[in-house]
Amino acid sequence: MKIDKLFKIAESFFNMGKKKQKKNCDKKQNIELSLDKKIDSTKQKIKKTESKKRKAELKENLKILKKLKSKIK
Amino acid sequence: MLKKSFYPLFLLSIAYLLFSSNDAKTIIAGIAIFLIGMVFMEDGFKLFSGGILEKVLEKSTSSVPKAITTGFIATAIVQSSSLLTIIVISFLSAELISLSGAIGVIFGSNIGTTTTAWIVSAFGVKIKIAHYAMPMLIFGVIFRFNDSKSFQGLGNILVGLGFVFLGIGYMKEGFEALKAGLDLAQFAIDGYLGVLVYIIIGAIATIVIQSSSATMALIITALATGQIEYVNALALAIGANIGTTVTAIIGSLSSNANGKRLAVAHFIFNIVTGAIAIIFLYQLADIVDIFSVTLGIENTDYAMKLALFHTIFNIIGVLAVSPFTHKLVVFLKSLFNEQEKDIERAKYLDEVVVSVPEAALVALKKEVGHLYDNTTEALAHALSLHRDDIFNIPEEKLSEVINNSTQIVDIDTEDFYDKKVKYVYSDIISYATLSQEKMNVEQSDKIYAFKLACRKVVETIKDANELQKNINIYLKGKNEDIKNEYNFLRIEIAKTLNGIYRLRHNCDDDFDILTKIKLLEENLTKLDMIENGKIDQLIRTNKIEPRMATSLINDSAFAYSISKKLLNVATILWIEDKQIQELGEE
Repeated sequence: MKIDKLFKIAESFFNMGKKKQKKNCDKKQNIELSLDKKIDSTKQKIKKTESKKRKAELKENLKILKKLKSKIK
Repeated sequence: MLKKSFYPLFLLSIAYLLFSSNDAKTIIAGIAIFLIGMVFMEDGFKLFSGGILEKVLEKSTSSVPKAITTGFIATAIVQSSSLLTIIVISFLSAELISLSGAIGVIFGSNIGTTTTAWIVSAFGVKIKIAHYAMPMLIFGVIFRFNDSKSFQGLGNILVGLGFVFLGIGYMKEGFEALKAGLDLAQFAIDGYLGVLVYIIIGAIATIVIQSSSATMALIITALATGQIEYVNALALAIGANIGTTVTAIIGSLSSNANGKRLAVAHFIFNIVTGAIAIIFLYQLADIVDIFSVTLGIENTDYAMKLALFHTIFNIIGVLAVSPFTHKLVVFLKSLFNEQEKDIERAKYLDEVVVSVPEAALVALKKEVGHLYDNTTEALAHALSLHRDDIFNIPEEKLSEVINNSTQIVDIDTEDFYDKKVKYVYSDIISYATLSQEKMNVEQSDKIYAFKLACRKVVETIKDANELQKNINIYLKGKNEDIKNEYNFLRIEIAKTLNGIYRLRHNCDDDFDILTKIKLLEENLTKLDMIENGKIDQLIRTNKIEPRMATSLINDSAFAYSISKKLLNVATILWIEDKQIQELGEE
């Protein structure tokens, strides 16, 4: 308990809380960016592929990826 | 087999002796009372010590000399080498003591057990020991009625001692009476032939009585009453030592590897000691004479001299064998390998890398994968499928293959769990706990996730065990509708297993894996048979009985639970990025 308190004091003193928040925010942005890239590449694959079965599979994947993106937001 | 045919013969011989000779009856009754006394004493020490004996053994066996001393003192106090052996085997199995420590205790215990001979020869044959038995028995019984466990233990010890003294009294009385009619000493055989004959008699007597202490008491009382010659008594004592190892070996046949290792160590010790004693019997007898003078034992006090001989040759045995303890350990470990019994252990957990966090994490991840693979084998069999039916065919053909595969796979999932999952699981938990000591918060979180994955993997076997019972019933049944429903459950679990197998081997990145997991999760809604109205429909159209419906509701919940847990495990194990992992969580 004492160590936890000390950490909190240190965090507030060195502004570490905000740094942590910023770090989390950056991570979230990175994930969002890679998810966008994945969505784009899946869309491209859907356009390029000729197999109907594969197309249907990719569309299902795209649906899931979009759901994940909305979850991040 | 031998025991079964020998037992009636043994009973008949005893019955014949009891009816034919009053003196033999007294001696045999003495042995029986002595043995029951030993049992009471052993129980008493278990209660009375309140764990002290265990604590001492745990802390005082770090080196072989220490272990020998501990074994000697403990056996001299509790007067039971078998109690000590039982505790040592249990400690060895729990890895509280090392094999070399345990062997040391057994060596020391061999010297400790010779104190019984001292007690019998010093008190038993010189005074009317049976007179002391009565107060002991009375106070012992009174103490046994006490509420306190310590007093009950003390009571058992007193009752035990009382019976031991009473038994010795009866044996002595029997031999004295026997001597009046028949002098056994006339059968004494001189030279090494006599030595060999009496060694065999001593060994057989111990195998039959199942206690070397009782045989020693018998030998000493017979010697004290002049029924046997001193040299023959020495040979009988050697025989008793050899006989007790046969008892230990027979007792260890149903024991685990540790029990067998100790029994063989005991056997080797007693055979070597016996061989030394036989070869140097007459020289040892001379040494006994020299020490007797120093200890003030009269030259004609053969009972005391026999006790001294018993102690000296066991000490010589310890001195001769203990320098080879570590070689013995290596030999015994190679002789009885625990893994020979089909028990699977961890494959990737190397103790050398336990202190390197990143390497330990890699090893742990691989090992949890190994646990997962073993579990999928159990799951496939519980569904009456083979892994090839699930993994080596395309997903769209799963239904067809499973519908056609109705042959029941006879597997005991609990036995499978014990042999192929339990020890790998426990190895992982112990390794994870050890490696965690040097890890930072992030690494510790991974360890926690691996432990969670293991728990979920193991839980799927328990769920499958429940599901398997009805699969086996309904697949063989005549109701095609319920059979179809159970096939549906099999197919859905197989789809999850197949899907995880594919994502594990074919997916390029974490998002791909997560997408596949989410798709498989969406598919699981089909297993909610109450919500989708399937059960209602089956009952309404009289296709299944209500009894079958309740089974199906429960089993569809098990199928859902299995699939869901497998997908959770896949998320933990095969998605590398923690953020993406968290994105997959609900």
